[in-house]
Amino acid sequence: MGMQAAFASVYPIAPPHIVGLMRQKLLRFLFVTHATGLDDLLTSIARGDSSAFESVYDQTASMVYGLTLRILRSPALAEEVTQEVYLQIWRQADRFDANRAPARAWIATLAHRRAVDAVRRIQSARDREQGLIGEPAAPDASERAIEHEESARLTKALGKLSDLQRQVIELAYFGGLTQNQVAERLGAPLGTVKTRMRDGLQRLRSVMRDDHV
Amino acid sequence: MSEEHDLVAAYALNALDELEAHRFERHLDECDSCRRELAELLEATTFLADLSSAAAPTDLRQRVLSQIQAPGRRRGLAWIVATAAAAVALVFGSLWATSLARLDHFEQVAAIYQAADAQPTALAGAEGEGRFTHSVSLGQGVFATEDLADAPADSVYELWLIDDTGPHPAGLFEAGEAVIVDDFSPGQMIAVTLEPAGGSDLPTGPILLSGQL
Repeated sequence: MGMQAAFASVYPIAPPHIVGLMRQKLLRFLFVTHATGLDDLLTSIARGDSSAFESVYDQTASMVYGLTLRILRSPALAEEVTQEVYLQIWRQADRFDANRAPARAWIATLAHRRAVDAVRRIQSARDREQGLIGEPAAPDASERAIEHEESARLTKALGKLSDLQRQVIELAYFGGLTQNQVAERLGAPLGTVKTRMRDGLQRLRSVMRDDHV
Repeated sequence: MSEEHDLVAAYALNALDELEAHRFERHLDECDSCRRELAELLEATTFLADLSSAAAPTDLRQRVLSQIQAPGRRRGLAWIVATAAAAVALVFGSLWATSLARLDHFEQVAAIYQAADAQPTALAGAEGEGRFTHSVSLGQGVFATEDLADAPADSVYELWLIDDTGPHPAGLFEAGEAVIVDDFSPGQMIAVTLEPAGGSDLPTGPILLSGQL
């Protein structure tokens, strides 16, 4: 009580952006601390340790659910895919190889593949029925990004890319399009799409490093 | 070699078709520099996944944990995706009538799952689990089961909607099949019994699974 009063007298008005910054730093600290344990937890899961599985779920569920929701745009489908992803983690944890990529990347990749697989199958069944060939209707991720509450950082990170870098990455990663479909959609040569995907991801990586340090 | 190397970013974004992805994976086994670059690019895609985080529904945790405690026949998205794949495969074959019928069914199921107001109702029981996902705006729901044993010979599972006017038959199904229901209202109880082949007008067997809409 006394402490709070003293604090309040020093900072009569708590600057919200400072509080926000401190919270972000704390969250990042917790995230990094947790993330170091994920590799070991997957090794334990491979031996059938269900409490390790619970920890992995708690540390990654918002990423897996959020990503699948952003791709599938249906809470019911996102829940189904999330369940499938964790069943796959439970069954295939022995395939995880820490030398290739860290656990968080492995889990993000599994989740992304499952979600995109579902999108492509649903889309292709639809196209056949309507007699359409190709041209899947990918959602516009930049529009959808606005719908999400916690997307400010995502929007900011994507904003550091050139327009074409951002478009190819959004259409592929959040829209589930293949590189050929991205090229068709944008009317750009495939070679350009490949190059922009590559330098766009490298750019994002350096944005991430600045962001996290 | 250099041609394969060009695919690394699209592979990180999961934007290759199956054939290309397979080709790239074989290349990856032999190419140190691609493995290194892939690890870097996966840092960027994992960053995108993290920035997409959204709070997962709290009851999802229990569903995920229970599926590893009772592994086995899980149906849900797997069933939908399998149906979609079968439908697409059949279109390429000569079984037009069958394929179109199946496709209609699949379309219905996918539409219900993807409806903005899709709402799942869990059905619990000693024999397995069920899920009724319905959309009030579409006026349709889809019922699917998990871990339900095959019905004995000469009998069939029957779905019921129960309200203060009594039980109403809502469809017959085999273990693993889905049932589309288009006549339901909030507050009804949904239940499953085992009935003689051909079904019954009123339930004769004990309730195996039940839940509340």
